Amino acid sequence: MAAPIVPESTEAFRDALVQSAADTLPEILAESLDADVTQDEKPTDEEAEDVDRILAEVARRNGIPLYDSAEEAAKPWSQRRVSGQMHELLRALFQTAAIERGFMGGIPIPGDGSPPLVIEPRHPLRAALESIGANLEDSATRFGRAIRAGDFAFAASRLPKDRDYEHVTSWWSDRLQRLVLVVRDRETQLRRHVLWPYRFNLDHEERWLKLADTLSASLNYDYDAEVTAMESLEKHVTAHQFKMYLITGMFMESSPRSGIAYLFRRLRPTIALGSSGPRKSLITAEQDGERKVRIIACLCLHPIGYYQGSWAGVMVPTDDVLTHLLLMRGDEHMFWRQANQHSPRNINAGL
Amino acid sequence: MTALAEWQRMLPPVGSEFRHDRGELNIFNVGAGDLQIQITGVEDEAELAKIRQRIEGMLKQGYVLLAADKRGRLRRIKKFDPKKLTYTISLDEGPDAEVPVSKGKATAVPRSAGG
Repeated sequence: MAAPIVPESTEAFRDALVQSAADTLPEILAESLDADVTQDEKPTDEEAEDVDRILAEVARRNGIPLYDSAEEAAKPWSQRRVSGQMHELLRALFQTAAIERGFMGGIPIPGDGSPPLVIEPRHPLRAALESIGANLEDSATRFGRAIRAGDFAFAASRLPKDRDYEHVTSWWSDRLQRLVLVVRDRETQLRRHVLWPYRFNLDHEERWLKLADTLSASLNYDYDAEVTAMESLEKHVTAHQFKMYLITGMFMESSPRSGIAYLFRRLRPTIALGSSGPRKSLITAEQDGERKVRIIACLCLHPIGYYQGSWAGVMVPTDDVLTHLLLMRGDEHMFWRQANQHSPRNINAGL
Repeated sequence: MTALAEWQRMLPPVGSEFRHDRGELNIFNVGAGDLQIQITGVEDEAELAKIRQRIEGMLKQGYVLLAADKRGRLRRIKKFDPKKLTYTISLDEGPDAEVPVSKGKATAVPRSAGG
């Protein structure tokens, strides 16, 4: 049995965690990480209780409380929230375990009160991570989050239950200022258009909720990680660009390949700018004396995952910015292919 | 000053930031911000095997790996040769080029979840 960790200082605590991770790592986590296929099933109650027992043992060995109060421990498994110290410990353990098993991007662990996660489809812990916190919400909140996150398939599944519909396609209509969903009746195979009763650009509450969710997601970020990411960004941009970023949270760079100018922003999608003229890059338009600029799209992309209904990714904000910048420089086509391309009028564009 | 001139002034001089002789692999990581693996000077076979395994593993998991070409422009890594320890990058013009891992600065970005 491993010796208990005595947290003398934050650094010593972290070092000790890393050293003891192999001893205290739950086997269930290890098996999940070693699996080659994505696990789509949520844990059963029995499996959940197994995890709970392992967590209790990890907490005991490290001399920290698993739950903050007896009332918390008495709640059903899916509603219990571990203590702050335990949460920090789990983050460190998951991080170490992920790197040891070759998942170099790490594993995001959402904290108390954070919006649920949306994880990339091939991640081995996708289902488990997405289920954290999701069951604490009522269906109306979850529905609202799905709409804000652009999860139209989920939204379609919430259509009236008298018919069994499946999602076919959906898009944002600038003219109608609404989402348009096309669904298919599974029985009759007839398609039906649904105009979503939201008018995003008029709904200030939707915007406020998205801001609030971004703010609550920010509680999960590690200060040192953000500083490291900013130091890394500084090496990739000019002093002028970095100064702009420090002061305003955004900077601009043009692509020499496409002529498109990009405005990279912290905690918001990157804005792609072109000239107003057809088939003309911004640079050509500028040389021709035309000054009109139009927003082509707002590009949203988060490595590994993001917090549903927010603008926050699981990586620290500057890492997201750096990802956009490097993908634009290295493979601009792929950047556009992988990013969600939001209309500037859509709430998700962050304008 | 026009907006274009302003933007061009802001662009980093091509190649200035990536010209180096040391092999380095930066990996975007959820908890650490950036993980940096120094590759130049590693002679221990076990360490080299771990580096090979990690690079192969990331490519298998769908990570995007980027490395600079001779002119300092970032390119996507198409292949990795664990025996020769070289990356293969595609260029806009001409055939693919090989970059030795020990001299290339690469960046690894995990798979995207959209947004």
